[in-house]
Amino acid sequence: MREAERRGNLYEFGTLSKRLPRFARNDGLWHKDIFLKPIIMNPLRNHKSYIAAIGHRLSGIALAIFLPFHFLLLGTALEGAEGLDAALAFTDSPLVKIAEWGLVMLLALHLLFGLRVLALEFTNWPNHAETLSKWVLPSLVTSVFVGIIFLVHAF
Amino acid sequence: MERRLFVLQRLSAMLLALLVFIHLGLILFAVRDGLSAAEILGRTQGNILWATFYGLFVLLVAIHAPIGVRKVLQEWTGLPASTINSVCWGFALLLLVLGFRAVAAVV
Amino acid sequence: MNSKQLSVRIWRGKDNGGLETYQVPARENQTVLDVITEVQRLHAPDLAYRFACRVGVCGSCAMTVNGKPRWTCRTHVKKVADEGVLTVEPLRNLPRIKDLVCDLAPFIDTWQKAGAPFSGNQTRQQPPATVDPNSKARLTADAALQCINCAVCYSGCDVVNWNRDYLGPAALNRAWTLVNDERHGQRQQTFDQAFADGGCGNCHSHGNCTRLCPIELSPSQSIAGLKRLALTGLDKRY
Ligand code: HEM
Ligand code: SF4
Ligand code: SF4
Ligand code: FES
Repeated sequence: MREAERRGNLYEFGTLSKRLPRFARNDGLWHKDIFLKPIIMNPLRNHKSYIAAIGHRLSGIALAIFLPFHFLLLGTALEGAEGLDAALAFTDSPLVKIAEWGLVMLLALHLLFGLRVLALEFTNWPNHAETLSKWVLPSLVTSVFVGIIFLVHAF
Repeated sequence: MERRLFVLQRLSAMLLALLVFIHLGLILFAVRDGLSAAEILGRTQGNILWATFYGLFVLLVAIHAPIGVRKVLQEWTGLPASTINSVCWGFALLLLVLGFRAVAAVV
Repeated sequence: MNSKQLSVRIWRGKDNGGLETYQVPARENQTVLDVITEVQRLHAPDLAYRFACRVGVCGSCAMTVNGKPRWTCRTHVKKVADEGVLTVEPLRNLPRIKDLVCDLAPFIDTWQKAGAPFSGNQTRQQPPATVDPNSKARLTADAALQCINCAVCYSGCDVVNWNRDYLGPAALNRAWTLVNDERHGQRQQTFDQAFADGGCGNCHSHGNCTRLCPIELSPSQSIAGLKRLALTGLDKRY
């Protein structure tokens, strides 16, 4: 009761959400107005296939932003191996390594979640949506694992 | 048009799935003992197979990513449709140019 | 709080309204619609809400109950009350009129845009079409046919929330039944409309629609069916 009441009173913050980006809004329902509430707590969004869709989207965006830089890095080889080596030296800094680690992980995640979308859309067997939701957690675990392998070797 | 974009995005996704799988395997294999230009270039230079592989990769990703970004922009920003389309065309060209430049550099 | 009482928070007003709390007796067996009716009878005679059949046939009583769109007449309070509190709001993704009542016109419009009208391919002089009830196309259409236009799925779809041009699950589900209906004279047109701007290409398979549909239809499956046709092309044999 207390908890629910407290949440209800947060409605007063309703107008705050008008300033939120669209994806964080929930169009007038009190749930959106608790703007610090993670996606997962929203009753419409706290299920695996939603989390997979958002994970797929965020990883896709991150990859899209990163890709031009990746190409630029490889392009430095136009100045011969020295150019590329100099660029690779830059990627030796731990901060860049961490970023790369994130991207390798996101690439694996986008791949695994992408396969799920393709299976959802283009295959049809009984209960497939339900069965495919079991794919979500292993995908997360696998991509973290891939990230760890990368990290262990990269340092 | 929407339908064509949809089909292009999904077909490119199917092919990319295969390419990314190989690419990821290679990343994990290649970083085992650090990356050096000599090693990367030694693998790729003069090798038609890798050149085709990465050329195809660039092409597919230049199709796949901008179409995906377009939907994200449509849904998550209030930008006018024409702006979004131009941005995505620009992004596709950027990926194509930088991508092929990179492939040309390493083969 | 008296354990025999239920706190009901109900949206009052239009867009700039707010939640008002009412206390009603908690009963062993009551639906959300029962509770709203009780509130209206006892506390708020000017409370606006919609219902007709009270047994899950008409689809007019859909509202947002504790954050999820539902048929209030078929939702037991016990199943959804959160620590003795019930929060009832109008459906989202639709313009509000007053209290719990929404304007469904934009939702109905999506059906038109998705090519929903049936158009026969025979004249009244011809004998009625014989449809094999066990054909694959018929079974596929049947599985998606029972929709009663309640807008629960439309209201639960995040893509509709983000992009008001998106036709949404119910209308595309309808298009899928027509595309599989051999008596429909405009299968190709319906399919084209279902894939035009605002159509199937916008669905990201979140699956909210299928999770929420009170009669367990699967609009996301229907949309997936249309997407498959986008790859293979419409089967022209019938
Ligand atoms: C492993 C290969 C890949 C597969 C199987 C794949 C699959 C997919 C699929 C099926 C979608 C559609 C998602 C939807 O509309 O719900 C998608 C979206 C997207 N992809 Fe990929 N993709 C791959 C690689 C990439 C790469 C390398 C990039 C980045 C450069 C990328 C960027 C994006 C973006 C930005 C979106 C839009 C996200 C969204 O609409 O939610 N993808 N991907
Ligand atoms: S599956 Fe598609 S139509 Fe259904 S809720 Fe998700 S995005 Fe909306
Ligand atoms: S598909 Fe289900 S939830 Fe959607 S309008 Fe029809 S009956 Fe309602
Ligand atoms: S009142 Fe008819 S479905 Fe609820």
